[in-house]
Amino acid sequence: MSDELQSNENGSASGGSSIPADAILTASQIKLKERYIIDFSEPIQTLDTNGAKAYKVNDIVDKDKLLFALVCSRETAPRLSILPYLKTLNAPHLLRLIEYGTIVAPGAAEATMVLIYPRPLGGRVIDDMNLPFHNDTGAIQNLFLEILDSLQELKTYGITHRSIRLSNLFYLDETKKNIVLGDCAASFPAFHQPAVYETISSLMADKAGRGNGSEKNDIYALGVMGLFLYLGKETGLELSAPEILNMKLKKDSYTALCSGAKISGTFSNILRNMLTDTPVQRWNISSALESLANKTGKVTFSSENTPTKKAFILRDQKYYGQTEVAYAIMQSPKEAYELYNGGRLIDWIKTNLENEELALAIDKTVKSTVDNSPNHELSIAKICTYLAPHFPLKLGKICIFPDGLSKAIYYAYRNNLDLNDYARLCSHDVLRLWYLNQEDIRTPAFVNEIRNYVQSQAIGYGIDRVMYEMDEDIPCLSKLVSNDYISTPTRILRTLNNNYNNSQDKPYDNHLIAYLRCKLGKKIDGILIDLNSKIQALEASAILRLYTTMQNKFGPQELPKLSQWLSVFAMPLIKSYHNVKYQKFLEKEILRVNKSGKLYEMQELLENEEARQKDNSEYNVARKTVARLLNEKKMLTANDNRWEIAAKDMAIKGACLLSVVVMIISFVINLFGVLK
Amino acid sequence: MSNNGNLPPLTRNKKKSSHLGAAQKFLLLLLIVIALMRVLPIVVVLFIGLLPTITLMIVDSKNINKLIIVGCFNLAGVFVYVFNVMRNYSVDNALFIFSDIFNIILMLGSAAIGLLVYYEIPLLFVYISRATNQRHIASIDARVEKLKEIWGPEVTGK
Repeated sequence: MSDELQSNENGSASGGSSIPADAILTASQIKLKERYIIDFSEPIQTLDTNGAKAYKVNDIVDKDKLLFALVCSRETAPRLSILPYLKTLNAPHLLRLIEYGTIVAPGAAEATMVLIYPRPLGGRVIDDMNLPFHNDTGAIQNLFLEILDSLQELKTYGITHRSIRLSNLFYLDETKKNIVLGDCAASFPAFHQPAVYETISSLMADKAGRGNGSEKNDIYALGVMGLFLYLGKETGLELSAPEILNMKLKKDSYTALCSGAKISGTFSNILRNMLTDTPVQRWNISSALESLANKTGKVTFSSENTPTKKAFILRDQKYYGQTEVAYAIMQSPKEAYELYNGGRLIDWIKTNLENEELALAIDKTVKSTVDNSPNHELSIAKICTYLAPHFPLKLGKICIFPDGLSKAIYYAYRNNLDLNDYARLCSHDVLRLWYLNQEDIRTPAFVNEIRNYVQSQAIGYGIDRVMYEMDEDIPCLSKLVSNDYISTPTRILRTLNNNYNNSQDKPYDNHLIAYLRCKLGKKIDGILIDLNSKIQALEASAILRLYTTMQNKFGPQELPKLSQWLSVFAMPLIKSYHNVKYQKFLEKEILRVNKSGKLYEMQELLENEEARQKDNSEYNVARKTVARLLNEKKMLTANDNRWEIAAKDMAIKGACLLSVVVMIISFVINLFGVLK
Repeated sequence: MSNNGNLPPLTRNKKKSSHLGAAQKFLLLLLIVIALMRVLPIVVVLFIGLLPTITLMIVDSKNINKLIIVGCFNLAGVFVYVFNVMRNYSVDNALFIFSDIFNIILMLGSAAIGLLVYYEIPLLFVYISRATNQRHIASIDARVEKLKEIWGPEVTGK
């Protein structure tokens, strides 16, 4: 999938709809995948959506095709993992993705994703509200069926749309007969959704942490859109998200959004089924399709909310429902914890909800929690996961759904926000607890590892690793490659090669290694161990091995600047050889290898096993020789005069011998004198 | 009690054998005197000539090496006059030798040479040993430096 991504940064000249394939592009034009020319001088503001800017596109191959490009914002990240599916999807009421890739827009400092779509010729439905749907329940129900069919198609791939709103609904052709939902991939799921289109639990979460959600989020948004089509106007846009949330909490979503308008019985029941605030009661796509396609035309709605006998009182406010109480204690954790400590919360669950099992589970979990968080937020978060499993997790200043965690971290990184609360959230088992309390979501395998990742100070771990591990959509945020949009490891080496300017220190950072570990898998775990060894030579060896493997696998064949960068970084590796002459030889050779830009040559040169063994064995011999010589010298220069004493002894013995010899000679000579 | 078959004490026989008779003692003394009279010229030469060695035996008897060296050299000097006396064997001749100061200087001088050897030879050896060690240390330093050039300063283990 990611291999399809390509950037084309060398765009230039020519404009208009009849641009020949070999035409020179103007400065405001960029060619994508040798076929689509994006003209930045011709923005189409009415098609701007999900934070992405729309521009006119010319297709070199099919010149009659009218297309537009959505140039995604780097504030968020596009939903990269769903793009291949959107490209091949057979859903007539979804704007079909034609192509996608990365580009550097004229004047932009960093690369971004661009999505190519067919241009909806009839414009936006919101610009022509009165015509087909106002007070026409039949037309709206038909539209529901069409869109639900397409959403069902998305669901087969496990994809939610999360951008269903009037401003993202288009007439595909000029006759305005065919209606399609617009882009859903240019940004985080539901990040740009107005508050009125979002469920209560989704509104509680930070925009970046809303996560992919479920089909029921799409059903809710579709219901809101249908209601607005019926009313002929979009209401509540002027209100802030907290205001909308309070309004929906005080009444219910349907009542709050209808604003007193009279709606016919059947259609009202349809909307109630789609807009009910209890996720279990809300239609899913299958039940919606079944009910809407029912030929009798009758749709019933039954609220299963059973009001409790006694209110739970928090900060002098009375709360009756389980969800209401969960939201209340989420807002006032300190006071709520005091009530829990006093036993009033558990009593309320036992007596009013008549749920001994729930009370017991909450009590057991909270008592086993080591909660050092201010205001006991951790304990309260755990209580909320039991009371309202569909609520997001709130800890400190953040409130997110676990499947939106990595996108929220990405957003925090991009906007220089505090990451401590995210690290705290990952350091405890509250994430796992949230998943355990979900009926229809399995606990992902990585959730058990998250705590280890966050608590580790080692390179390739930390909150960065969590971010990349949890979400395939997140591009690499390493500052070393920040000018490019790295959504696949294949582009990393090329970008590093382009970015080297002799001033950087290490050719890697924590983001890069964490990203590569997620994309390349366990096979680089050995490299991670070496990178964390705190031994410079081993670190240099590890990164050289990693990049050599990547060049061999992904190319390109020549990376001269990266090679130069690595050779500077590999100096400790050269110094790890003991033989000084061999070190100098390597220093000379590496300059030659740099020019070729082939990392495997550098690796072969620096990590020659035979040379290493020879160097080590000869070095050991030299060390032993030096040790012996120094020992000898030490003995000779020692202050204990042993040598002098030995010399004196020897001299005395010699003198004794000499004296005896002299005496014998004298005796013999004199004896001969007498005998003569 | 002896009649009962017990062995008689051994001491009775020992007492009898340890005492010489008066005649025997006299005879022994006579023989010694005669022997001394016979070798008196040599004894005189040796006694006077070996005075340095005898002195050393009295004042520094534990230093065997010194005694050997001085004694041997002293003997080497005295042998000249011992054999001289043996050629003209008389006490007069022996005493005549000591009437010449040169002879006394030669005998005592030989002992002095022995003393000189005892004190100076070790110092000479120490000097030679020191010079050899310095050369050896310089050679070691040169070899270590060469190895450091090839393998870097770490080769010394510092």
